[in-house]
Amino acid sequence: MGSRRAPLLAAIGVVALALLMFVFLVLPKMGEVTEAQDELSVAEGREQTLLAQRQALEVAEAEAPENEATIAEVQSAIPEVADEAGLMILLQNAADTAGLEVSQFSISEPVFNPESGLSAMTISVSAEGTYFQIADFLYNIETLPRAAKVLNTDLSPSTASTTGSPTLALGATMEAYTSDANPDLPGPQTESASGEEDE
Amino acid sequence: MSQVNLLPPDILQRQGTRKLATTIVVGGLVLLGLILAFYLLQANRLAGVNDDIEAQERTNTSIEQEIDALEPFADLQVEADQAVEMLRNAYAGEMSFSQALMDMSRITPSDSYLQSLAVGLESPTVDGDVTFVGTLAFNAQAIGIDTVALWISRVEEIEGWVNPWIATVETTDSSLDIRTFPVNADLTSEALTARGRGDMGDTGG
Repeated sequence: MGSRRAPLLAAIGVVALALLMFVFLVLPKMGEVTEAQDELSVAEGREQTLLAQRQALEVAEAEAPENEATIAEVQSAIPEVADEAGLMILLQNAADTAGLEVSQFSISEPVFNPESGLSAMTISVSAEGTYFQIADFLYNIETLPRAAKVLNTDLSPSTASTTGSPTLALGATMEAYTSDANPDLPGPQTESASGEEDE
Repeated sequence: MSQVNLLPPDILQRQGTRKLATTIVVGGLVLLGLILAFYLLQANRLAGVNDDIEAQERTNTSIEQEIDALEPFADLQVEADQAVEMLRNAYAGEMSFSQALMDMSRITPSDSYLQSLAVGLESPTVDGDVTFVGTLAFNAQAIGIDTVALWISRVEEIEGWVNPWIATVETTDSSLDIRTFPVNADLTSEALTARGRGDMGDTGG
């Protein structure tokens, strides 16, 4: 009777052992392989991201001289401090080059505009000259190395008209800029520093 | 000649059972061997994938180091973009007043002259497709109503100068037919310079 059951017991034993080996040895290993493959896919994907990032940075490296020139150009056009003295000289030179007789310059204190991130100084100019001298002066202002923008002009006959081309009186308002975010403090202030100051 | 099996049937049955058990055991061992071989294959595959991961990580680390070295150029790029944006903000809404004076000179008829001129920019207002950015007003004198009409029609020839309007025309000297009149016009965004419209040209590429 016992010997008749031997093949059955052997078969059960073999199947049980095979199942145990598969469940406790093979399946976990297969799981580890899948996990490792996923990890590899992630690492490969990251390489693609890094390569794209490096490529963008290489472009930035190639453009570095151009970017440095742009920054220098903008810092010259919009200095970090108001530099009122430099501005006055530029305005006077613009008038002198055009042959305009300036009777008054007034430059307001810079006022910070959070929208533009700039502090603007309003400049009022009163001057006298011929029509084309005034046009030249305005052109000189528009092409100053420093960023300046004419806001309005008012031309009227001058009381001090002389012979030749009629002299006109010019009243003009313009704006010049500084990147100083808090002009009340000495030295250049960044926008974030200014924000901290306000808080 | 036929063969006769003289073994007793119970011994014959026991031999058959033993043979079957042996076959099962051998088959089982083969199966277990196959499972073990599959396990070893998986283990080998895992080791290979782990090696690939290590190699990939080394490659990534190397690229990251290159990126770290290039990072200052990205900062420079950001700084340059911010600088251009700052310049764009400064020149936003800029109009060339010198060009406006030249245009005014060009459209002034020969038998007339300008008495005063005021040009001013205002906060932009949008009406349909048109953005108004300022106003222009001047007083002038001209000989004859035809010259007055010519002048007002020429104002509209200038890009960005629209809606010219003469409210009154006064005859200052009837013997010479001298007419004095004020003109008002609106300025649209077309009167702005390229940089006034946000085009910074070569600055910062």
